[in-house]
Amino acid sequence: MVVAVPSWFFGEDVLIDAISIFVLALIAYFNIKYYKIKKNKKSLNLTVAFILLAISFTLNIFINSGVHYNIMQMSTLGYGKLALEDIGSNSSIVFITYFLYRAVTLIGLCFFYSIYEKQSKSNIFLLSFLIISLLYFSNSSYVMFHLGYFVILMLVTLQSIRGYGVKKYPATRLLVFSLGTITISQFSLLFAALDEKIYVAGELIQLVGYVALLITFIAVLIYGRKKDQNRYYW
Amino acid sequence: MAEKRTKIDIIGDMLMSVIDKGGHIKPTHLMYKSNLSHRQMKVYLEELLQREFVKRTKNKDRDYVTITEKGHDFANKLREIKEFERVFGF
Repeated sequence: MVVAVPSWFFGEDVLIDAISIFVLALIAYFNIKYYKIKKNKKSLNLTVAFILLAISFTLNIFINSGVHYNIMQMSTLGYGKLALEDIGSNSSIVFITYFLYRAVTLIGLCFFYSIYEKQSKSNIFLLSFLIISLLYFSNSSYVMFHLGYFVILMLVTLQSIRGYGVKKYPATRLLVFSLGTITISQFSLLFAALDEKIYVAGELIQLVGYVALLITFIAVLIYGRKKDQNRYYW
Repeated sequence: MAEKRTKIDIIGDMLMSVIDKGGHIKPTHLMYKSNLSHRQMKVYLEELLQREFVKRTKNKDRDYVTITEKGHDFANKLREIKEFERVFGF
C-alpha cells in the first residue's frame, strides 16, 4: 500500500503528532493525580488509554521520521510527488514498529471506549478478537487499521454526545467537538492513499481536534477552581 | 436511588460545608450540613484534623472547626476532579 505524502509536509506531520503526544500526556498526568485521590476506575482507564495513545503517536513519529529520511535519500520523481515505501517489505524494524503502533493504538482506543461502557468478560473477549483481526488484516491493508480507529472513536464520540445531551455542560460540548474532529480526521485518512492533499487535510484536522481537547482540559481546570459550580461564561 | 458516598466524597462535602460558612463552622452545623450521624461526624472530623485540612478554634468560648490552607488546596483539587468527571461523563 502506498500513501502519498508531499515533500513539503515532511516534518509537519511529525510536529502534529508531537502536539498530540503533549496533549495526551498532560491529561494523563493530571488524571493519575486524580486517580490517586479518588481511586475511580474510569479515571484509571482514561489514564491508561491516553498513555497508550501517546506511545502510539511516538511510534508513529519514529516510523514517519525514518521513512521521510529514507525517501529524502532517494531521487525524487519528475513531478515532485514522493511515496512511502511499502511498509513491511524491507525493514524488519519498521515492520515491528508499525505493528506495535497499530496494536498500542487499538488497545488504547478500547480502554478509552471502556470508560463509557462497562465491559463484561464476553465483551472483553470480543474486543480482543476485534483487535487481533484488525492487526492481522491491517498488515496488508492500511485502510483496515484506520477503519477500526474511526469506528471506535465514533462510538466514543457518540457516548460523549449522549453525555452532553443529559447534562449540557459547556465544556462537554467542547469535548464533543474535539472528539468529533479527531474522528473526522481518521475518516479522511481512510482515503489518504488516493491523494496527498487528503493526507495533509487529515493531519490538519487531527491537529485541530487535539488543540480543542487541550482547550477542553484547560476549561475543566478553570471551571473546577471556581467556587460557584453553576456559573459558566461560554 | 442516590449512590452511596465514598470516604473522599464525605470529606469533600465536609470541606465544602466549612468553606460555604466562610471558613469557620460549629461542629454541630457541620454535622447537619454534611448529612452525617454523630458517630460518622466524629470519625471523619478526626480524619480531617489528622490530615490538617481543618483545625479546632475557639471564638467567645464556642468551639469552631476552621479550614486550613491545606484544606482549601484539597477542596480545590476535589472540585477539579468533579468537573473533570462531569465533562468526560464518568
